[in-house]
Amino acid sequence: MKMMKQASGSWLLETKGLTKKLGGKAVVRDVDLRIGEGDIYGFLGPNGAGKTTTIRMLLGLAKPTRGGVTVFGKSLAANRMEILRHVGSLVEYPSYYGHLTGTENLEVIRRLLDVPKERIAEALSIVRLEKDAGRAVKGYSLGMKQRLGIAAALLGNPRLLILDEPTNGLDPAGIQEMRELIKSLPGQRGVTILLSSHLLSEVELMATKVGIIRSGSLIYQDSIASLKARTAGRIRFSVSEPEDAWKRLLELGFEAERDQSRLTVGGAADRTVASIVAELVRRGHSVYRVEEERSSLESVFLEMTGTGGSL
Amino acid sequence: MIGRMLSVELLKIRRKLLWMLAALGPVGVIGLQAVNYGLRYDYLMKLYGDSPWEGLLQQVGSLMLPALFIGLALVASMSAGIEHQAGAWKQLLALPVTRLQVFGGKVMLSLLLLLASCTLLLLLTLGMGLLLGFDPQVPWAEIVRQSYLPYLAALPFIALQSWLSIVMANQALPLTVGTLGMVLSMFSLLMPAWMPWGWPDRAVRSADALQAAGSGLALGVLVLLIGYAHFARKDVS
Amino acid sequence: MARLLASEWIKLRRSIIWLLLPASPLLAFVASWRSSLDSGGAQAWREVLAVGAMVHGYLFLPLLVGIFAALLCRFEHASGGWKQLLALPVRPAAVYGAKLAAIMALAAILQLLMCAAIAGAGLLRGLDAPVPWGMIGMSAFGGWLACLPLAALQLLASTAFQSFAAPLAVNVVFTLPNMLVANSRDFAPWYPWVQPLLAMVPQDTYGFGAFNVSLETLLAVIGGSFLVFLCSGLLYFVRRAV
Repeated sequence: MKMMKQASGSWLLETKGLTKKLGGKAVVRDVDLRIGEGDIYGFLGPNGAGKTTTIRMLLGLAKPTRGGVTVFGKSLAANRMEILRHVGSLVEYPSYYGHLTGTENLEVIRRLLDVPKERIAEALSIVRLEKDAGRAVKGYSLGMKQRLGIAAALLGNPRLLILDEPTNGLDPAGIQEMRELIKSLPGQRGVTILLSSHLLSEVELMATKVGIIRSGSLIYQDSIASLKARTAGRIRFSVSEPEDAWKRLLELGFEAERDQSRLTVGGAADRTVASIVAELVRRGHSVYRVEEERSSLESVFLEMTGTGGSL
Repeated sequence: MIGRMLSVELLKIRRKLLWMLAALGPVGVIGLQAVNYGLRYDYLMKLYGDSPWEGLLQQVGSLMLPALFIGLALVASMSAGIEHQAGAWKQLLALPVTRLQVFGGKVMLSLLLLLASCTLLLLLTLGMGLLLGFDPQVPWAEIVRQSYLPYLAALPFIALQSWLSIVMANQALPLTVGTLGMVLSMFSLLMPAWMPWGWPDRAVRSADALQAAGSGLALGVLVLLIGYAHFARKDVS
Repeated sequence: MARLLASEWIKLRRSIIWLLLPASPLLAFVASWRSSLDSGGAQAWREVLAVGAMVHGYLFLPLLVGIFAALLCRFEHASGGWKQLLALPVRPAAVYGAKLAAIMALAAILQLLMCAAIAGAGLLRGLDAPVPWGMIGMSAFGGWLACLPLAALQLLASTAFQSFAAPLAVNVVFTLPNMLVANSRDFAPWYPWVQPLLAMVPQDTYGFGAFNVSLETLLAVIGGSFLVFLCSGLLYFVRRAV
């Protein structure tokens, strides 16, 4: 876990106690995000949990009620211009001037960033829009508009890319394409990416680290591997004389639970399972089945966000 | 940076009707006056006797003021409307540009388009006078004064409409305010001198024209500052 | 149709329209209260009405009708409401008709406020003759009727353009010439945008321009232009809907 070793202050993006109140109600509360260089950080949460509000504050579009944002080791409030020069963003839905062509849309941003003209062609080729670049954007499909939005975000050669729900409204092929594009960026260009989503399945395939926000509070933040470890199974034993067997296991110090004829033991390593089976057999129990019960990542997520069912 | 903001604004109004609107004002005013003179040439020439230029300026001025009032509201609304329509405020303000530059860029676009309108009106008025065969001894000072002093006197309204149009996604309110302002300005003769709605008219006809233009300039800058202060503090959605 | 109108009403309830409606009657009230009069008796009422009608009818009334139309269509443009509205089991023509009816209903409220403004101004001046409700009512009704073609055209412009500015620009382009047209005996009777003014100013009050044109001519022009604008608007709207 490379990023956990980083000393405080060396994060590429860090927020401390970030809070936003709207009409007296805290929509974002004491959020401490930590994003390391080269991460693809999945920012997860149900709709309305405060993802977009947090992202707006990361970009200086909204002012925090309390707390601060540090990017590239500098305070955003004091160094907004310098920081934003190295940040590309796509918030909620793509912005586009429908009456202008794809190229002209990028030219608007290029002039403000003051980067060389070649960047336009480069950005267009990264998102594979070269063919349609001469057409007015109002005729683009949603997927193309989204890609143009990514091209705009990439125009300034950013070190940090902030993408809010980048696959929103795309069809499966478009989602697949966007996913490949996002995954390829850190390797090719050394970009760090923050991407928000309300779908774990979406982020799971791209992210190296996740943060989960629920009703404004960050309730989980760690590597995707640690999140997956949480899904480690419980072992279920079906045995004869379960009452006896259960008492014996408790005496031996195993945290076993009994449910009629089944006993379950959580987070058991292979060796533990082996010794439990040996003990049960020695005591004369018949062991009918030893099964692993694995919860899905999705159900862990749903449990955490407390949304059950759909998000 | 100012130049860059303006170049971006000009790029964005490509293929938009904004330029046409800026031209439509003066062309419409002079077109109507052409019809007016065409139909009532003898009457109007007799009315203004030996100062036909002054008469023409008076006629043009009476139409120019309402056109300026509503034109500035339309121009401000359409130039801010480009960003509202594109959902581009968030994109624009997440770029390394200051809010002052973004606000200033929009205001300058409106100022530039309206200045172009005023200049076009000057040229068309001149052309019409010469075509009607008025004395080639053109009263330059008068024409220039009438073309640009109302523009300065209307600055508070350019500032107000830009501000409202930028901070409100719904353009109905700014445009309604603009329309009411236009109609109100037609009653400038009944207004006390401190009311800004009368200033553009004063800048055309009265002895204190320069004062009206100067007040407009000062109040305009003040409204711009207030508008900018509001925009700078506003969260962008 | 009644249900469509009810739905227009719901959309209007929280609109800035209610702040807008009293503006013109208020200004007309001030003008006709403060203006100087040449005559007394019943003739004085005629003058008070004429001043108010000039203030209200010259630009305000035609411009407001355009703003009503644009505001009523804005709800639909803003949130993809046209799609939603036309996906309901209603005929596109009925949707269009309900919008037009709503515009004219707002214009009716405006005209009622005008009646109150004129009566109020006259009473405040202490005119000795009783309030000539018939004359004031006819003036308001005539102005309202003369708004029909304008409402139809502005509804067409407002459905065709997404932005609020475009239909307003159309409205202004046609309304500003009123300032010249009203003076012309030859042109004013034929120019739809000046009709509300002509219909509202009592006959024979002013000896100039087209204020003496016969009622028959006005009705023919108003009816004719209304039919033309309404048919083109309906045709455009129904075609676009399918």
